[in-house]
Amino acid sequence: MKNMFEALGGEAAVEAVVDTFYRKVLLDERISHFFEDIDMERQRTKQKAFLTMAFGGPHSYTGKDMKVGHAHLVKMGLNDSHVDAVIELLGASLSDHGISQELIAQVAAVAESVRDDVLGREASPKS
Amino acid sequence: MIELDYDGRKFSVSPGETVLEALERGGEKIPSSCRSGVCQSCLLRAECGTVPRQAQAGLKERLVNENCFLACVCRPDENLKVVSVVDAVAFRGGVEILSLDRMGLDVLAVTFKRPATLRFEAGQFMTFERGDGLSRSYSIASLPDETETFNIHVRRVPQGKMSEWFHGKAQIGDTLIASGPTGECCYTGSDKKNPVVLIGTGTGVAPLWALARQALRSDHMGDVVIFDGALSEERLYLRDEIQTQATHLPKLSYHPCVLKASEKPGLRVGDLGQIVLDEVPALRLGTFYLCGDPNLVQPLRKKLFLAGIPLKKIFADPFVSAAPAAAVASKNVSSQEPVPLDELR
Repeated sequence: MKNMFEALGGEAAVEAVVDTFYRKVLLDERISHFFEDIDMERQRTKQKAFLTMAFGGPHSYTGKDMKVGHAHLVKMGLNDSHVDAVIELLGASLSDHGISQELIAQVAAVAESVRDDVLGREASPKS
Repeated sequence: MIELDYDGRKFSVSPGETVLEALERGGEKIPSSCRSGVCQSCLLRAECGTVPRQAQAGLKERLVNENCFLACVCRPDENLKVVSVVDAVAFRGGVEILSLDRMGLDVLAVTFKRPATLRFEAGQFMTFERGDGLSRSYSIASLPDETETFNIHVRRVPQGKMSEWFHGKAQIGDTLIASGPTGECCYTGSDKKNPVVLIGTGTGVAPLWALARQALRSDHMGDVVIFDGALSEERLYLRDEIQTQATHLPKLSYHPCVLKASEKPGLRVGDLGQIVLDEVPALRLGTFYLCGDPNLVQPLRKKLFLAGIPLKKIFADPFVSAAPAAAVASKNVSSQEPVPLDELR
């Protein structure tokens, strides 16, 4: 688990997957409105940070960062169904790049671990 | 002990410490978020000294060339003099108007004496401030290796304060305060084999034509393709100049495009964005540069990306008009970036 970031291909893999993932979210009617940003570079940088984290790569986001960073989206109505969609598209993007289902499940688990913070909830008992 | 100079103040960097940690230990507040070299919140620029390569990983080429780096992953091994990027305007000073020359229907070429310390890359823009404080940005139409002068193309915008002034009142010998340069639409030379695709509306063709000439002079091996869009044919004010060059430069191709006209050879008629999108399959390995009307630039950028062009290969410079669109735009632009307060250049 510790080396998942390297197993996936590290920085280069993130670079390759991030455009695929960003295209998928922009084209997905369920969630595209959360990702509209006139500054596409900035939006891409955020998504790269998210993928790096989901890959188990270097980051030091705290639960508080996650809450603060997504509070405006929660106000817009961000809920579990949208997080589900993001995790689904993340898996599809990794699959497009030939990543194994086993690794995809590990990435999804990391993304899942920040769900409550992203949605501004106290940690639920299962996590 | 490594010494660090930040905006003129002195700090020391302990072994193993990052520039960000050293500055924070010294009481500085530096914007930061991920602290691991990803989010780019803590971008700084080194004026003196070499930063370790890993402190520039993932940065855009232009930022690398300007010695920008990420403070959170920078463990320096030599003394550095660094500045915050927001304040890092390369040049600010008076520039004198040397000539004012009409081009086509409603465009004025304004040529300035070039100060020796003003450095820029083809395709960038400068902000010009009049004595009373009125300021607007205009793209540079000339090339960096023309050292005596530089020029801009100013389109007359009805009720545009600065453009009306240039067109009606400006005199040879007048001085404006110029600051900059700014802008991402530059030829980097990193991908010489593949096409350079330049898409502009109005005076957007000015920086793009400079960029095209820069690419051709830099022995670019791929095609250089220009799509020049205007409402009507007579507004394609650089058409003759570019077409003359294109006749003896096989790599250069020029596509004049107008929204509505009767069909005729050599003229593309229709929506500029759609004309470009139709050509994407043949140009998909290229780097795309978009300058001009934000109503073209912003949506086309997104459509090119969705059509499969990597975001890092799309450079856009929307010419935001001074009012009221700029007020809207400024809300959507991060504080790291200067808002280009342009009239439709």
